[in-house]
Amino acid sequence: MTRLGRNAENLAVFRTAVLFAAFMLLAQINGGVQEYQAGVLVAGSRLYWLRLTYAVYCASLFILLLTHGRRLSARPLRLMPLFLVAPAFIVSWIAHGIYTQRRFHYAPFWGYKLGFLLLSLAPGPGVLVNGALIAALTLEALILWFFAGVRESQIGNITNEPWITLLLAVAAMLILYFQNAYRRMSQQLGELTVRQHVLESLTRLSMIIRDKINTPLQVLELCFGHLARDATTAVACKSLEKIEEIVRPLHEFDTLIDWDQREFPSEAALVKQLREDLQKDEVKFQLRSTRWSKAPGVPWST
Amino acid sequence: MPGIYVPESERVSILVLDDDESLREILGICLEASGRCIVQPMASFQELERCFHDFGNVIAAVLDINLGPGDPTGIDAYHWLRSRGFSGRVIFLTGHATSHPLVREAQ
Repeated sequence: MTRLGRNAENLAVFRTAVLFAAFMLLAQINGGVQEYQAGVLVAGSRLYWLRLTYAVYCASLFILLLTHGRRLSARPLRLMPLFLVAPAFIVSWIAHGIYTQRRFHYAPFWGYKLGFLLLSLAPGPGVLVNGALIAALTLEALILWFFAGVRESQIGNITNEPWITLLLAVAAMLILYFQNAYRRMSQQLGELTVRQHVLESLTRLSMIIRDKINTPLQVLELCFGHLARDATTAVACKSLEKIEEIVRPLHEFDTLIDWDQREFPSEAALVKQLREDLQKDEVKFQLRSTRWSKAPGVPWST
Repeated sequence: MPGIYVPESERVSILVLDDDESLREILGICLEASGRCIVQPMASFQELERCFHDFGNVIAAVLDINLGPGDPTGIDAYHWLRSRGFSGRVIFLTGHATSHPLVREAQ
């Protein structure tokens, strides 16, 4: 991947991590307020401490991301959804258990659904982590529904559960998959553009070299034409013809180049530009198993 | 040089504008070998502008199209010569791609 691509992706991963942390913090605050208003959350209870601990944990990560996030390497940033969502498995399990025990009327799995939505939007190589999280959350929701009494607590309510949660999980997986495919495609497109740029410069350079060879060839041809014909000049003329023959096939490809400027480019400037391009990290790609940036210098002075 | 008629009775000049010294020299040798013309070799358009009025009876100009990156081209020299009333034959020299817009313009 090019350096520009990596930077863009790191920035996207950082932003997603910040968004995740903010969302999870808000979700804990909202969940706590709702539970308090419904009388489920009592100060000092297990749920109270869990919500509080989770909220503080999310707030700490959020602050860490805001203050040091840009200095963190891409790996912990990519794993941030995992760090943020992992405690939700326990909190959610316990909260649903308490709701069920108390025969509390509630719409189940809203946290899961919103979590799916957020996890599906994560960019970059966090795809596998996010996919695994969506699958694990779905599994937890299904266990809660079928084996932990949530289904029984919802008798009499039309909730369309657990199918709606399952459907949203599949949709989230698909969004994640297509988003990743699109990201890969953009990345390949970027690399192809760089490759095209370098190849165009190389083609121009070969044509310019051919054109530059023409002048000394013309001079030699005129010189030999002016000399008296003998065995030595005959051999020299033959060699000259051979050079001309070697160069001739290149005439065929003249039209492939789009000379977009009226001025003749200088080969020294072109070589300099090409060297600079190849030294950039953006142009680190392999063509015919050759690492261009480490290729030996082109034998022209610049 | 094909396409240039040099009258036998008079001594004439032929302009050779090329940035390559070797080509200027060998063209001078070949053209002057006829003994009826003087070659006026010039390396740049600026030199042509400076010295053109010093030459008498110029009947032809051999112009290289590419006179170096960033410099005026042989096409500019052609237009300049025509604007000065030069009506002699003009021959363009180039080793460059025929698809280049400047070479196409010269054609």
